Amino acid sequence: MPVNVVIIDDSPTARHNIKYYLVGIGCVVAGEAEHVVDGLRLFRELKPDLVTIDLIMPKLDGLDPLGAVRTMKQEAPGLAVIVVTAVPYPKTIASFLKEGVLHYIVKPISQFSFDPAARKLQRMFPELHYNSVRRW
Amino acid sequence: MRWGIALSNANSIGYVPDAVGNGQEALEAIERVSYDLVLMDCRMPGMDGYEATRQIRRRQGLGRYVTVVAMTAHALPDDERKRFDAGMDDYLSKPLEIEDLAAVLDRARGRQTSPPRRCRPALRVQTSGDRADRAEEPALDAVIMASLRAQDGLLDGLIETVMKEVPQQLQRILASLAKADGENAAIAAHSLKSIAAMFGARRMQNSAANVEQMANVRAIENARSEFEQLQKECARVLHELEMERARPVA
Repeated sequence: MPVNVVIIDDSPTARHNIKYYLVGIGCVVAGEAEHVVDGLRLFRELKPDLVTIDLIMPKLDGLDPLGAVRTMKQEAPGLAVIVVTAVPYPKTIASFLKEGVLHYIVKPISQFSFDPAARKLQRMFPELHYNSVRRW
Repeated sequence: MRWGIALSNANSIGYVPDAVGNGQEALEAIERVSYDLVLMDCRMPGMDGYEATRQIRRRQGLGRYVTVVAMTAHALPDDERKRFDAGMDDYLSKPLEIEDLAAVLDRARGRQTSPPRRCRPALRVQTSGDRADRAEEPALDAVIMASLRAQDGLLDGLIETVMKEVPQQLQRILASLAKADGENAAIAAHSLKSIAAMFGARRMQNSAANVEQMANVRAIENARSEFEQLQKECARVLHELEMERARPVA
C-alpha cells in the first residue's frame, strides 16, 4: 500500500524540496496545496496517510494551520502530520506536538533535519524504506 | 538587577554588552552604536520590549540587521505570536541559564553576514557603499551548495523551481506594498527568506528578513526601500544558480 501525502505550503520551492525527501523514502505525493483551505479540501478528498504543513501562509477564511491540524486530527486520528516551517519557537513547536503532530522540521529542510522525521515515518509505515535514504 | 545576570553571563562567554533600562534608552543606544544583538526584556517601564523592537525594525532601513532576542518569563503561544509580530528573532526564558544564552547567541551568529565581534565597534553608520564593498562575495554558501550537489536529482529541479518562484514572490511583494498590504508582503518575503536559507544565501536571507519584519510592523516605506536591496540580492543569487546549472557535472 502506498503512503499517500498531501503537501500544504505556499512556496513551490519548498514543496519541491519536501517532495524530494518524501519520495526518496517511498511516499507518493497525492496532492499539493498553496494554502490551508485548499489543503483541507485535498485532505478530505484524497484521504492521505500523511500531511505536511507550513505555518506562514496567506490566511483564507480565518483558518490557521493550528486549527487545520486540529480539524484533520479530529476527522482522521491516525493521520500523520509533519510541520515544515521556518518558525523556530519552542512554544509553537510544543503547541503543535500537543495536537499530536508526528514531527516538526525547522526550514530549510535538509537531509539532516529530515532524518528524524524519516525514522518516525518508517516506524509508522513499515513499507517505507528509511534505510535507503540518500546520504552524502 | 535581572539584566545584571544577562550581562555577566554574556561577558563570560566572550561578548561585550552594554545595558540600558527601558525601550527608549535601547533605541537611543542603537542609534549611536551598531550592535550585533539586543537582549530585550519584554516588560519594562515606559516603552516595553515589543514596542521598542517594532521601532527598531521601522528605523532599520538599509542598515545591517540587528538580532533581537526577547527575555521573558511568559511562554504562552499568544506571547510567541506577539514577539514574532513585533520582529523579535528568538527568545530566552527566565530564569536565564548560561547554556540557553550561549545557544541563542550561537543561532544569532548564523543570521549575520559577518563573523561576530568580540568587541563592539565604535559608532558606525551603514551606507550603501558598505554593501557595495561586499558585492564580490559569492552569493551562495559553498559548503551548502556542495551538500546539495551531493544529493542525486535534487539540485537541477530545485534551481528550476527557484528561477520561477523568486520573480513571482518579488512581484507579490511589490504589488502588496503598493496596496500597503503589509501582511501579504511579509508572507512573500518570508518565502524568499526560506529559499535563501536553502542555499546559504545570507545576504538575500537578511534582506528578505528585513522586508518581512518591516512589512509585519506596517513600515511600508522602509519595506519599499529595503525591497530595492532585496531585488539586487535575488538577482545575484539567481545569476549564481544559473551558473550552477551550466556547471559541468563532476
